[in-house]
Amino acid sequence: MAETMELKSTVKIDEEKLTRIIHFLGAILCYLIAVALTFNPYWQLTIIAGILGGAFFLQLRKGALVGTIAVGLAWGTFLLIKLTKTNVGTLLTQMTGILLGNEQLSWLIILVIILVGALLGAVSGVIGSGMRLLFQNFLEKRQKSQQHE
Amino acid sequence: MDVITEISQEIAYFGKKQKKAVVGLCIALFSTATLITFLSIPLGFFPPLGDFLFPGRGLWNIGEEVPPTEVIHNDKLTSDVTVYRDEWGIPHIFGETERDILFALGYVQAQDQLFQMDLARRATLGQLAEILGEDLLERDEYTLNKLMDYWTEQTYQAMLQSNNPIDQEILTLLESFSAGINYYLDTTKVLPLEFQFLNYRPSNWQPKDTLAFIKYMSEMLTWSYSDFTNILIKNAIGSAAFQELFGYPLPYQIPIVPDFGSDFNTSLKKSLNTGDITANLQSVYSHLSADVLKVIVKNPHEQQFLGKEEVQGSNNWVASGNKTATGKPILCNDMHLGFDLPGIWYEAHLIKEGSDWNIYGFFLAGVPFPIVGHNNYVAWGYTNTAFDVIDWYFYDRINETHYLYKGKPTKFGEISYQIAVRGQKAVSFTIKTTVHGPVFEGLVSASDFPEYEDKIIACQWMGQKVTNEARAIYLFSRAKNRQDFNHASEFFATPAQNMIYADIYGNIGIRPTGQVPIRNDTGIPAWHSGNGTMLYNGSAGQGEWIGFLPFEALPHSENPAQGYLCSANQIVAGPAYTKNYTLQNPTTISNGYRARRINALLASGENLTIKDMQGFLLDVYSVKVANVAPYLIATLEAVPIKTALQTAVLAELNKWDYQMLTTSSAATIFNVWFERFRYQTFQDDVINLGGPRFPPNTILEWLVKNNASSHWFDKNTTPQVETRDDIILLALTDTLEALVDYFGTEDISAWKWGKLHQLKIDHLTGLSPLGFGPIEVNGTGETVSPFSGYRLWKGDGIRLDYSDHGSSERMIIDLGNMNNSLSIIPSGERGLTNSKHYTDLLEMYLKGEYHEQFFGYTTANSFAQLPIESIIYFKAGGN
Repeated sequence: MAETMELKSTVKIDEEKLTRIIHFLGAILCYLIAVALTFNPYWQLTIIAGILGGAFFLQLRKGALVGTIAVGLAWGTFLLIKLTKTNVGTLLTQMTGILLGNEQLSWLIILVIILVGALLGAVSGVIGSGMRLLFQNFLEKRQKSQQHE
Repeated sequence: MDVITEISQEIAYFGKKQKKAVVGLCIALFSTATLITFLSIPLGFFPPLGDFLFPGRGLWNIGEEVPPTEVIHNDKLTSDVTVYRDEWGIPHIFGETERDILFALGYVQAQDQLFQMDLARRATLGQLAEILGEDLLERDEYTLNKLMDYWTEQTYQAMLQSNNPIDQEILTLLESFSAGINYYLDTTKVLPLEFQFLNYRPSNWQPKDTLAFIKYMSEMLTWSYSDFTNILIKNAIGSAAFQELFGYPLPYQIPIVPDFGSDFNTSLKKSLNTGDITANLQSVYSHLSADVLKVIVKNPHEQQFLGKEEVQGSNNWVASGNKTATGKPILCNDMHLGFDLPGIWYEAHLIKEGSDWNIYGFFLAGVPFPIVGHNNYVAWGYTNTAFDVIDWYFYDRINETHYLYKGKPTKFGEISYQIAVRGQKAVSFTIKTTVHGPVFEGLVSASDFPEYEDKIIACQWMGQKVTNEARAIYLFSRAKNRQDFNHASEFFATPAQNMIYADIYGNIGIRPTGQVPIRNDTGIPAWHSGNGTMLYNGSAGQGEWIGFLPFEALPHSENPAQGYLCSANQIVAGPAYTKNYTLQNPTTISNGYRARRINALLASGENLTIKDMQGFLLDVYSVKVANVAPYLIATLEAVPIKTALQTAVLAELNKWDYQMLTTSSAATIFNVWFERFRYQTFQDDVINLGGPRFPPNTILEWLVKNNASSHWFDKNTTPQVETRDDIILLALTDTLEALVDYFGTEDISAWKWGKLHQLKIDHLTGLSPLGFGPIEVNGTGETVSPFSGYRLWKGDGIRLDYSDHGSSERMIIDLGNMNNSLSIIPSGERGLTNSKHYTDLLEMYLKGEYHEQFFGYTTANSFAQLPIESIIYFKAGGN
């Protein structure tokens, strides 16, 4: 009996560990897909990364969190690469002057871009985890009703 | 049970957790859709912000420079071409045939200056509203009303139907050039910033677009409303005073062509104006002129054409071998135009390897032939002649379809357009035309003068004709001697230019070149100055163009004894040339200060070198100051008890060398004082009476030197009689008060000219972050190196008004060794706003520097040894 309890407890700990690993992999996958998608011309496709990342989580808030961090970081990575490897900074300064009337505020534009990316990641992460939640619930109920039959 | 029914039943039995998930999911879906939509649609003037700012496209993909190496295969090429861009991004194009070379030129011009090219053709052809929206619709309508698009098309059609083999060759070359541009458009995925921001892609280039540039330059240099301003001036001050202050000839003019003498009779007649200046003009002329000017001053584009008081022209000069160290001529040219970024000029070097076809010049981006420049044999440059080639007419309108012409009802012609407008349906626009030209419906508002409700205004302009400038500039680039150049000049109708010439054989020459109409002034009123200088009664048949001055009748000079020639927009010839008045309107030629200085430098010059010419082009010595300041100084010296400030000012003026440097306080004091002196002299007698502009500055100079008690100095607002010295001191008092107020100190060492004289260059879109400046600059509008287009005084005091006009290029050609030739432009070779070549040449220009042309590097191999920015290998199809 004690051995069974211990086994059950060990299995439970392993399950928790596995879940954490899966979550971590989900976050990494979300980040990598988001980075890859920054090099395609359709920024709207970023939500795919968020949805896929969020699908690793059964709680909406965790799906939102992983989307926020992963997509925000991915867009930040893209901006860092571009600003250090090219002179797009000059263009950014000019555009800041046009949009905001003050060329010194280009950091603000960068921040806004990253925040909008994070927001897109958040909402698409919620979509991912929400869909996972509902689909999983649907599958479980279906399995149960089939078992009863 | 189907799946949907199953799901519905499931939802009905959802627990709390699942219901929360559904709500969260719906909110997330809605938020995502809203966010994506909001960031994917244009917001007013701004492009879709997501498309523009977010990773993967827009801003982040715009290239800053051209690729270091390109290999381009194209079936349209018959042979290989190699383009080397030097360290300043200037292309040196080596090829075997001119057609292939121009294909490459089209490609590189598009790479470097695509937005400028597109904007210039749109501005000329009335297509700005298509990309910039309804705000530019009125501008497009006005542009189309000038018939530049119509006459470009007519010129193009005439060339297509022409039997002249030169026209056919030009068309073939234009096709090749256009193909190069279009190849760039077809193959480039990411367009420059301006296109991204304005969210449009330019249409393909056609030969007609290149021909439109002739009209573009004609409008810039010859469109004028001086016919109306002259009426108003004469109406304000009377005929005698008009002749005294604005009439031919202006004093101190040194003619461009020295062969006809230079001693004009400039004794100004004592004005017959005893106070009776009521108009003896028929009121219809003056009222219509006032109405027209009221409309023009409110038009942001057209107001630039209102009587510019200091004509923005250009300088060119040549010293013969008798005056140079090498024994061969040196030719210089700097054309004065408005500053923009990207700049108007594109430098390029074209070489047919193994032949003597080697051309370096200043091109308009969009035109494959140099406007000024040189080849192995000849060099040439331009300045504006200020020939009067536009006349305005009024008519009696009978009804919507007819007007009165020489007593007979005459049907209007009609030209219709559909103007594309961004964000809305195209707008229909119809232009009526008279026998002379297009009617401008909006110019007569008749709100102030309802009795003229039936009047309409039309114009006749040299730009509204089929002309052959393309032939001229094509032939200039292959001229080998004076005869070739003269032959080419015959085709150059508009905008008329003083064309200076030099060749490797030692010849120099100058000819004011262009077509000038001869008017029939039979029947004009006695007060009318005629010669196209004033509004005509078109219904009465006044001012008909009955021909053009023949080319052979234009004044010109070849190898003059004086050993030099120069033009700076002054009078073309001396008193022995009887057609001066046919050619030029005295109110629109330059006052002559630059010409006087250049003549003095060249006349006294011996063993002149390239270095000397570099200095001449940067000269900021003021002839006006040298002639007028002594009177200011003498008057101030005579003040018995001077204030401390006056004493300091006098000391500063006394030690001044008349150089207009940014560090000079004397320059500040004099320039503000002169503007105020002119105001105090003429405001009451001319401007307040309805004259829209001041007389030329040389009139005031003449009065200062020759007539200290002239009635012009007497203010009609005071009971006492003022003289020159009274007004000098009055203006000085105004000046010193205003300067103390502006600078906040009586310490005149702080009154540096650079604080009031600054250059600001706007981007073509007007977006200031893409522009340059402001930056302090030497000179004035009247120095050899000019910066103009500003006023120092507005309202009650001084204001900082940026200069936006000056030398748009500087060129020095050594006919003894063309390899020594130098040039510079106040911009950069590349119009990409983040390119290192956007303003690199501007920064050199501001320091007074020049760059080599590398003209002597006539093989691709030799060029490969130089520092190179990039190489393009154009391969004929299949190679």
